[in-house]
Amino acid sequence: MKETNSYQNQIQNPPKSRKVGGKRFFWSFLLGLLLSVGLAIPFVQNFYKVQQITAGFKPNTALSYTAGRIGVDKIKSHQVLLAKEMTSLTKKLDEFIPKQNYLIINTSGNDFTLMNNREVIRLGKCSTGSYTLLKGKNKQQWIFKTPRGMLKILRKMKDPVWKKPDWAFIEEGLPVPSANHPSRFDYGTLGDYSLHLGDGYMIHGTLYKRFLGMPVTHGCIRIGDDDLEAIFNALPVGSKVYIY
Amino acid sequence: MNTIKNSSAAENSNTVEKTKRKNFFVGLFTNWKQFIVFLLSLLIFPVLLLVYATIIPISDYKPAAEIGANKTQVSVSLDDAQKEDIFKIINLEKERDFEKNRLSLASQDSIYLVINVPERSMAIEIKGVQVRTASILRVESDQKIPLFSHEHTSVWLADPFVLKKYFATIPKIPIVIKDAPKDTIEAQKLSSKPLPPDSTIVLTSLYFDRNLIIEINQDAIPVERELAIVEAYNVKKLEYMPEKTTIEKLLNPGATDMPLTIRLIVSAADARAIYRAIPSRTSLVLKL
Repeated sequence: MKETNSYQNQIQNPPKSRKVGGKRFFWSFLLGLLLSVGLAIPFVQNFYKVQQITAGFKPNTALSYTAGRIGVDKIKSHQVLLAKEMTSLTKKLDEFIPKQNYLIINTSGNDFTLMNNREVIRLGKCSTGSYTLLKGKNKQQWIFKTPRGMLKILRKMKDPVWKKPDWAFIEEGLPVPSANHPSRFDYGTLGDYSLHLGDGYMIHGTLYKRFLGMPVTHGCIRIGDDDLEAIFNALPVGSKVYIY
Repeated sequence: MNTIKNSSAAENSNTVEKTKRKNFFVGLFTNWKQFIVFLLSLLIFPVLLLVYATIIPISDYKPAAEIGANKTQVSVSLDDAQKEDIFKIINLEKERDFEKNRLSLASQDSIYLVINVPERSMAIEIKGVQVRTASILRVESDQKIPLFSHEHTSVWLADPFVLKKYFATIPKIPIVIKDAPKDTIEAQKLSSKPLPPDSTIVLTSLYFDRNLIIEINQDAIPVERELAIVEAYNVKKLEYMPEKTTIEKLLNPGATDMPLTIRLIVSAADARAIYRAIPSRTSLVLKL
């Protein structure tokens, strides 16, 4: 009888520890969740690094995808086709290399390279545009820079005479003379040879040899006497000049 | 006597403290079910992030330009000989695309940049003629680039890239402004000596379309007088970089719209010449 009573008591008043256990489940869950957020923060901060590390374990599917695109039975024929395409492309690209000698001018280093096909014939110093912006009266202005790109030699001259443009007088603080005034014609300044590139730009000699290798010109390309003679003889009219 | 009493009291208090701590942990997990609940809740975020933000994005990582192409990829199994052939085909296709792009730009009247990363070389070309070649001393490429498969990269590199904006630690064009002298006396006073060559460290950032950034940097450590210039350059770089909040990162863990940077270390003369030579709307042919 006593045993029955205690059993009934137990049913009516369950042990307190069960309630405590429920709370503990909740607190364990909450603690785990909080720690989980804490663990996730450095992960979020280093997204790309984690991706990179994980990528190391990624199986390389690139080959099978490429094979899937080509078709396993067409691998050999595709290889042959690609080799043919490459030969054709290389041939087409080679056609851009000039057949005759050509000149390369570097305006940042102020040097030149005389080339034949892919071979260097001669290397040397030159002077190119100074990037000076000359401001005259009446809002006139000139920028002394060497044009870039591919140009061609349009004309060659021995003992050239320089017809001074307006800026040459303005720069010296002189009044600008009429178009064909004798003071416009300057003998000897351009050296022994000149190669004309169009728009008044030339490759010519210089009296200021100490400035070779420096950007000091009004846009023309100045070259030392020996180099200029070699270039003059090596480049016929129509030769290409690449300026960068 | 007092000392003995004190020391035994201290020992007792230590034991009580240890028992309390032990009871706390034992009390925390009174059974294994509680421990499982704790463990599951602990792993919930890291595992979710690992699957959602890492495994899923890298399983099919691709450059931004490729998104929307919706290419169906067929995967097939290969033996060793076939794998070797596919390797050769991938290299040939890379070379073909590279040469094709060079050819398309050679037909135009422009100065353009050609970068061959596997061969560690870069060049400036004008109408198909290499006017300057430079050896790349070091390449520091974005960690995301190796995640791309050839199928994705070939689409990304299919056409030449177009330069959108650029900046550097040196001016692109070193213009000197000079006012015309009033007379010959003033003209004589003006210095005719050329300016000394600029020796500032060259660090350049070129922003191309399709999320590509090419940095061409001089192989040098900045000296003290250059530190301010380098700092200003780095600040500008940060300004140009799209910032992503944690939420944005979580929403798009693949981050295919993030720029891909390739840093090329070259000699000082090459870095300067290349930066000065390329026009402001140049194109780039890239081989990876």
